[in-house]
This record gives sequence, C-alpha cells and structure tokens, in this order.
Amino acid sequence: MKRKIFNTTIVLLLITAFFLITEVKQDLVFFETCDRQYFIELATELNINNMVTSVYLGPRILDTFFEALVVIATAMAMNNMWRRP
Amino acid sequence: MELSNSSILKTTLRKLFPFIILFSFYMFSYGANFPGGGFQAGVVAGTIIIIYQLVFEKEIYSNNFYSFVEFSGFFLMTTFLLVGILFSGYYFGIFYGLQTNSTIFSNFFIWLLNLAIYLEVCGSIVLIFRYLIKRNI
Repeated sequence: MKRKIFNTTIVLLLITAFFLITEVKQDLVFFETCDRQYFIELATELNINNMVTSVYLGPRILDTFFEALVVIATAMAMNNMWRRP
Repeated sequence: MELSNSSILKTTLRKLFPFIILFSFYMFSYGANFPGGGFQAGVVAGTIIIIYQLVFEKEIYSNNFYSFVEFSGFFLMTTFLLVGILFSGYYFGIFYGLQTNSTIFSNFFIWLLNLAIYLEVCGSIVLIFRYLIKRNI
C-alpha cells in the first residue's frame, strides 16, 4: 500500500512537471552561434569556472533532469520486473 | 580465486573506503569550479559501495535506504523545477542568482543541483547492481 502511494505520488509529480514544462515558452535549443565567447559569458554569468557544468546545469538543465528520470525509471522497472507475484 | 579470499583486497579496501567516499563528496562539492560534478561523484560513490559488497560479501545499508537516497535527489530536482516555474515562469529560473564569493558555493543552486544528481546516481547504481545480482546475471 505504501509503495503504491509512493509510486503514484512520483507519477503525479512527473505528469505535473511535464505539463508545466510544455507550457513554458522558452528556447530549448542551443543558438546557432555557440562560440567560445558564449560559453565564457555563460560561466561568468553563473559565477562558476567549469564550463561543462555551466552548460549541463544551465541551458541544458532539462536534458539533465530527464536523464535523471531515465535512471530512476530503470531502477524502478528492474525492481518491479523481477518481483515475485 | 574469489574476491573474498584476497587479504590484499580486503586490507586495501578497508583503508581506502573512507577516502574514496570523501573524494566523491569533494567531486560534487567542487564540481562547479573544478573537474567533477554530480554524475561523476555519484558513480564513484556507488562503485566503491558495490566493490565493498563484492569483496566483503556484506551489504552496506538496505535497498530501502538507497531507494530513499535516490528519490530524495530526484525530489529535490523536481521541487526546484516546479517552484522555479511557479514563481518565475522559467524552469529553475529564479535560483541561478544565489551566488556568493566562496569557492564551493560560488553558485549555491549549482551546488544543490550537483547534490541532487549525486544522491540520485549513487542510489540508482547500487540498486541496479543489487537487482542484477539477485537474478544472478
């Protein structure tokens, strides 16, 4: 019963997040002119030195979020797939 | 030869285990300004826990603990996403301004995101491994 409530809460959270994300009108794709200066300015704006972090936790944060979602879905699926009935 | 029969492995792992966990904390904390980040740190921590289980044939904490760790990381990210959208209209929008002059918390929100990813990846890796060995794969 607890697990059902927990799984249901997670699914509802995800549906809400997906609905809100699709309603946000924001450019989700990189610009055409992504040169070195763009990344330097991005890292400066976020006040961090690691350019890789500034990208995957900055403009591409949704990619990171859904990648985390895939990892969680994998663990949940493996748990439920091999559970005894 | 089984892993559990090697005294070299056991002794080395017993000495190195706390330092490797500490190194994973370093990686996600300083990931904003030095090489590292949440994903790498989570993999390091999850891997050393798996190696410990293989060598000593003993589990560190139960599956429920790692499920809690995994979902707490994901819950943290989802909370920031929803709060950002509700308050600013942009996902995670309002949090990027939490900046200080320190090295670790130069951007506090980036540190929180790294923490969330670290928890999630660490928990997931350990759980996936345990579910696989349960089925003898």
